[in-house]
Amino acid sequence: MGIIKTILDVLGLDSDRVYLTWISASEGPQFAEWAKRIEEDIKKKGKNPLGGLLTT
Amino acid sequence: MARGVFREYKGKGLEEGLQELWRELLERDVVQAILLPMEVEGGLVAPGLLTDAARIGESRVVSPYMPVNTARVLQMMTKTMPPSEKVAVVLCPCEARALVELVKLKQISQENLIVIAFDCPGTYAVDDYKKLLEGKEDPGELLVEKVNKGGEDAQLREACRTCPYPSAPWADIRIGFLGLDYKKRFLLEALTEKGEELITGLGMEIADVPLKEREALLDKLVAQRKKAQEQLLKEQQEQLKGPDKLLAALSSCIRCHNCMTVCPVCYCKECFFKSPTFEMEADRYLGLAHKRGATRMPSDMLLFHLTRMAHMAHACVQCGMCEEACPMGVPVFRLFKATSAKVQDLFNYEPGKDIEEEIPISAFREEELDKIQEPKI
Ligand code: SF4
Ligand code: SF4
Repeated sequence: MGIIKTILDVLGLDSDRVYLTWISASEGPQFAEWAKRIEEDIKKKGKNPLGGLLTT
Repeated sequence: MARGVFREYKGKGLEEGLQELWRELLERDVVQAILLPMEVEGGLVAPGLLTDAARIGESRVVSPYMPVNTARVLQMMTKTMPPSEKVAVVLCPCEARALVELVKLKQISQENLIVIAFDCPGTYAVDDYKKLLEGKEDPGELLVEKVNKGGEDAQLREACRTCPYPSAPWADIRIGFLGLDYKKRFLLEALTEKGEELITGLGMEIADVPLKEREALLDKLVAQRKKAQEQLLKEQQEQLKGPDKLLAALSSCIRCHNCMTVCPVCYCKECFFKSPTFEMEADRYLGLAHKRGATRMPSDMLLFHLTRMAHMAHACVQCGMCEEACPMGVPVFRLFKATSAKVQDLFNYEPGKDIEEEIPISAFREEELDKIQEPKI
């Protein structure tokens, strides 16, 4: 994760769009909670700036 | 201070002086073969595996040209089985550093190999080197002289101009001719037991040799190179950062995979990019197109480079072979140098420095990189 975020930061791609957390298979509610938080966060951030570009 | 000996070769050129060493190694049966740069048909240079002492005249260690990273060759050579005879491998510093990383990854076996790393003042791109060959004087000896006088050659490959390792941090033996009276002698420095055995095998005695002048010149050269490195990183940030600039730089990429094929530390036998994941049916391309409105074909240029970076940024020895092999003028070296420099800083890891040191991504620490891992949401 440290590697990926560092690379994205150097290249100027938004590293805050990469998420990592550890949730056990038995922790369903936590998983749902995280999915919700990520969704909200992404909505706040808006469209992916790479989305419409051709060379991706 | 170092442990080693000086080899005198008055009245000859440096290359000839070195050739005498190769001859002795073979004739005294200290090793049975030497892997080293040799002149090939037409005048260029390539790694050659030399067994016949009568042909040492074809070796070109001082030649400032590097067609492949020889660590790649050693991986190919020792992967299935290490050699049954002793082989001396003569490498420049970035090749020796790549070898160290590949040994750690169990991609090169050190069995029966003796690693000899020579001082490298830098190398030229193939077209520049061809032009220099047309000149009267030997471009290698000219460059050694220039750098020994404290100069730098702006025509060198960018990777070399920004390389802080003119002398290899690890090898069994180091051959030194920078910061020394190189017209008369060069240094054979033993860094390991194997290295000491090689020197004593030649009937020479190892002693403590003072190297004040050499260290002073190397320090100055390294400082100069580090400054050039800072400048390159600054330019990357100004010219290649952010989606628009980055994708403009990658836009000429044709995903030919050359940069990956020549990279010494991109070692996976089963590459993700040659896996069925990328054998997509037409409908999957259509799916992508529908989602975005349009998609480039073939796709995944950015994904290709990002994946490669994530896999080998900690081990990139910044040899620049990737950019030499790129037919499309993509600034691959700049991008890989910039990202790998930051990743290596993060882990405080210098690839190729220490053959005993663990690779950061395979070492487990219960607590590490807390700041980065903390979820921000
Ligand atoms: S960067 Fe260059 S060498 Fe690498 S895949 Fe693209 S075109 Fe080929
Ligand atoms: S990415 Fe390029 S500079 Fe880095 S090790 Fe591979 S070929 Fe050398």
